[in-house]
Amino acid sequence: MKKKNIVPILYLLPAIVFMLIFMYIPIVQNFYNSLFDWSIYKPQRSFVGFKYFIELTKDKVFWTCLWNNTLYALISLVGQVGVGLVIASVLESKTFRGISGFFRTVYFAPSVISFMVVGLLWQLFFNPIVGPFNKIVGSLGFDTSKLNVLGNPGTALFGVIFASQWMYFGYMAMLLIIGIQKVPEELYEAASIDGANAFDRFLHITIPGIKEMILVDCIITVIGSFKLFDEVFIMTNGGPGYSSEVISTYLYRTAFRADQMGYASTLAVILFCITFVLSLIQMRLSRTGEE
Amino acid sequence: MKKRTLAAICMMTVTAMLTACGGGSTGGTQTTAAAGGGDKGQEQASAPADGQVVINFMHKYCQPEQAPAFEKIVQMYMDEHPNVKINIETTTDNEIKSKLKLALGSGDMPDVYQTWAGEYTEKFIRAGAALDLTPYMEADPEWKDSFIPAAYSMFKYTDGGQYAVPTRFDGEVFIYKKSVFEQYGIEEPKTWDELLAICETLKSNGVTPFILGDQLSWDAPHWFGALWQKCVPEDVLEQQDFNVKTVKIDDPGYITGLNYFTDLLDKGYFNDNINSMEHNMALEYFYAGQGAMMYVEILEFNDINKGLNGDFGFFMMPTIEAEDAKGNQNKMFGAPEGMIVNPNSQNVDVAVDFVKFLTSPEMQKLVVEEAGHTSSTIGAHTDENTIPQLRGAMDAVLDFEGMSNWTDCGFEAGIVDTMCKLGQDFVDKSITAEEYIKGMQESAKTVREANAD
Repeated sequence: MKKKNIVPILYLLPAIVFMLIFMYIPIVQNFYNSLFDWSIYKPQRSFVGFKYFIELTKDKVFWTCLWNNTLYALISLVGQVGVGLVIASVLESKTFRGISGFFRTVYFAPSVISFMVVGLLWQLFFNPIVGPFNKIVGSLGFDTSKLNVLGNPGTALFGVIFASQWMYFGYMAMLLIIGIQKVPEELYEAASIDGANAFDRFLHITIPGIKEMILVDCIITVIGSFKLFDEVFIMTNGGPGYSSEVISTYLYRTAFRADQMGYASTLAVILFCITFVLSLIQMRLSRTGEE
Repeated sequence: MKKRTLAAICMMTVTAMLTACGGGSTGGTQTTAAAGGGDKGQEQASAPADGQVVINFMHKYCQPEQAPAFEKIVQMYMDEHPNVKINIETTTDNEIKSKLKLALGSGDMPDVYQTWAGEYTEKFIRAGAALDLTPYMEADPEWKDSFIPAAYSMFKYTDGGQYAVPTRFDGEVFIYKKSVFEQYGIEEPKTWDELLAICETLKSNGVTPFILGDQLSWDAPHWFGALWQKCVPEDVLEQQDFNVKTVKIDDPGYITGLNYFTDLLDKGYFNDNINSMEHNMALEYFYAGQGAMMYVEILEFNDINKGLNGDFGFFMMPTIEAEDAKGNQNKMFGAPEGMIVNPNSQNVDVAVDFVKFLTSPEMQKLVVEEAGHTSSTIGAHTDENTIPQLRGAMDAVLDFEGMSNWTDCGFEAGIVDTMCKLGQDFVDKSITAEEYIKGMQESAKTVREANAD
């Protein structure tokens, strides 16, 4: 009996070893590192316990980052999942179904481009001197002399968020379209016979029918929002000042610019905890594992 | 039997993966195989069995016109020394800082690598990754005397050691469009008041005096650094505050320096959108006819010459004659780049010999001509291979007492990060000069505590 059980374990072993080496051990090691004051250039490291965790609570930049990540997540839930849901529903409606292939490709295309390209594109788009954005706003009769989306601390993050929504809403729509296609057609037909209009069908058939998929999208979006790095790093580098800084860019800056490895490890622990807890909460709410 | 075979295959797979991982971590790639790094006592890869000496050389001159010049020099050295093989690793200005950090952490430090003066090099000294070249210089005074003294002394540290040799020379100067200055009858300023008068003339004629782009967050700190050099007493700036154990940034001269900048900003002497304009974009904007002056690095002169078709002159940061400017007015703001030899290299003498070859007047002439570099080696620049403005700037350097290091190399990295980030807020007027300096003082306190004995 024992001999029979060992074979599947051996099949799983390579993956487990890989996960251990590249994921679980670094997570534990990172927590251990967060308890020390250390830097690449300092030969000796000194134990500081939870000093950095306490310092983090008083660090204004950290709270700015946390708020920026949260704002990004909230807007992305509406901009990516919400808008993606509406688009998926429209493209799967009888009216659009014939030509939905074209629109699906158009909406999905941005998500396969590297964000390096997309980021630079949007950076130029928002540039007040050479970019078209200010000219478009100006042509609508608004004063653009002070309009500087990525150069203004009050608007820089929104510029990044907008570029990100543009890139990913099509991807979210695609995931939701797959979900909608699994909803039995008979339900829509029955509802139509009962007098339900398109909105009623969307609200009472589509949404409950793809609840699981919506929650998966929400998980991807929220966790992605807290792991956010490329978008901010390329478009604003967290600036001006710390106005568009997020946890990942702050972590990178602390580790590889300021060389405060202990503090950066602490930030990484917090980032891990946030994403881990969010995953647990959302999986619990959606009961994904049970269905 | 079948199951046993499968199990064996699984185990072989795991073993193979682990072997692969192990190989990577000890420097399995060609570039790192012979690295002499290992400041933390890690295993040193040995030279190949056939007696060939391998030197790993990391620099940041990866531009299309730069990299081939260094490849040529390396090839020439290898031709002269058939038993030496030099592996070049090149990267960008920003990336080399992270790469060296990772290399130091993993014990894969190159044998020869590029550096900047000040605290940047001092970090490597503290980590035991920079060789004191003094004995080599004493043995070969001709090599020592081949460098511009002001540049050479930038790599001399408090213990008297010479931990790097200067290579590409650099300092910050104002450039101006000659045609614009001629049009309004403007002379190069010598004092701050004369500079203000020029700005007023230009502005009243509808010309933006200065173009500045601080999107990358280091351009404005170059202004601040130069003004601090004029306003903060030399001993406070260079001895107290460029030292991780004593840095405080508490001299009133810091705020005074920032106030001079604020004055220019308030008078409308800069372009709009400073924080969303990247440095190269600012240069293009300048070439395209906007503005009359820019504060740039000397090493950019060749590009600027192309951009403006030779229509530019330069002048140094003017003297500030006011009583509150207590800094040294006779020092130039800037510092050269340099080359460090890793003391943990298995082939230290060969590495030093290669650096000597690289910094020889012949090779430096080649770098000037083919890579368009500025050189810290005396005699590398001639009338034939250097534009007149650059020759003028190199000659003007000799009029100064010495150089005052870039603040982004002089201050510790954590302070530099704060200086750059808050600098954008300061330019945007989101924070005051006092708040800016307070932020830097907080970083300084952290640095002091972290480096206390």
